[in-house]
Amino acid sequence: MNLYFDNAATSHPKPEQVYLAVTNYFRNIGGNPGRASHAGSLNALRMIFELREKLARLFNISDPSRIAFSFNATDALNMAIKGYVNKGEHIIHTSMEHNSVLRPVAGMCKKNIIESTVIPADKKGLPDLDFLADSIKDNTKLLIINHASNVCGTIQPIEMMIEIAHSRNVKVLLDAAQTAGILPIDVQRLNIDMLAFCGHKGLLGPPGTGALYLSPDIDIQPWREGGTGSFSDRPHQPEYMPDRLEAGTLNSVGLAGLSAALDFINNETVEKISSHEQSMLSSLKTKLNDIEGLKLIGNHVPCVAVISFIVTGYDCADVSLKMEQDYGLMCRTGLHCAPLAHKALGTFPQGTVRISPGYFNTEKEIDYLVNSLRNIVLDDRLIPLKG
Amino acid sequence: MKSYCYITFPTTYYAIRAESLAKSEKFSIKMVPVPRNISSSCGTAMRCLEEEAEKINNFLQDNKVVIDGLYVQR
Repeated sequence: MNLYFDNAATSHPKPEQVYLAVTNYFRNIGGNPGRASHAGSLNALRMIFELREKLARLFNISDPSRIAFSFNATDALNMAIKGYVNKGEHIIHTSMEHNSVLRPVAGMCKKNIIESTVIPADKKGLPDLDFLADSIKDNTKLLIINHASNVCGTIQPIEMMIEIAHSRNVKVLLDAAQTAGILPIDVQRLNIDMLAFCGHKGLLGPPGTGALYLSPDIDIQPWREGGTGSFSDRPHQPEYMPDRLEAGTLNSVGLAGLSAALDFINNETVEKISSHEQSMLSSLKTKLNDIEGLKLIGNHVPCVAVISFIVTGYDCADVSLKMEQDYGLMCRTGLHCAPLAHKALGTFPQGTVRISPGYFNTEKEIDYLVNSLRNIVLDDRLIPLKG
Repeated sequence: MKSYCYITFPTTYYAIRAESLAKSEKFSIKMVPVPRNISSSCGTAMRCLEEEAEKINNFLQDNKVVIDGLYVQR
């Protein structure tokens, strides 16, 4: 038996209609959207247009043209960070950020373009809000928040954080890599200035898809420049969204799959998806808590269906290897591209084992996972760490 | 011979938005490559009959479609 519990990395499997849409698009449409006026190109463009409208409905975005497609959340975050913050300005982010934020910010700091401040988090993965308020300076331009941790699932208190930032004229970039399609996100109600997300996790689409939403009062410099099929006689990138940020051929095959995935989500509803995941999560946490020697990390409520744990005295790599070899359980081990989060949670540098169930996992599979882990933890075949 | 009108747009996003809106109102339109003697920022135009052009143009503008230009070709 092989069971997939690594949905925080990418969701698998996808809804059946996603596979069908990808095949149909690739075989029967296949034109380059926006580059010609023949049926292949126009049908591709129509598909992309409808997808933008579906995303706008999902996130309550009033103008779908403010959504620019990217190739993943990392790409969207790079577009936002490098396009919005200028020389001499200051960025604040939490210590729960993924390397998709940490590295672009660190890279800009290293080149002396900007400066940054990291808001510390506690052992539950929650940020110090007083520290946030105290960190805002005259040149602070942007606050970046990881909506939910990809290490321990902790959902950040974004409403309070956005309020603090906006009270001092600081814009907010929300990294929804772990929450898009899983938690309801209303960009207007929450006053989100920029929303970055990928299409291949909670949105259940193919890899190579993502997007950045910009609120109407935000303008950013294009990070990627090139052909758009518009203003072709001009030397510079067009001012109009989405062309401003969408240079080069889009991953239309992937986006066709994402469009079908959004129909699936719309049909199921985000509320139902969230409720199923929360039910699995709560049962999983309760049962794992009963296993002596297994320690849940972070373990805060509310959180998304991402659980990190360690087995006292054992290497997490050894635990995850046994999970797959002996029980067919696929999960992730290590730092999960978020070193500062592990420092906050007290699991740096050894890391954790991460289990992330998805919408298609069942309660029965959760029971199998728990029983397997109980066997592994109680099994003395695990080699204790030396020294 | 029929005379056509071409409505042009700054981006393909607006071109397809215009198409979607016009079709929902049952206007007789076709998306075509922009004739080269027309200056346009995006390569796809909406072609319609001249007598319907103004009505369609107003309808699109009422629906927040950004229009580049309106051209008659006889």
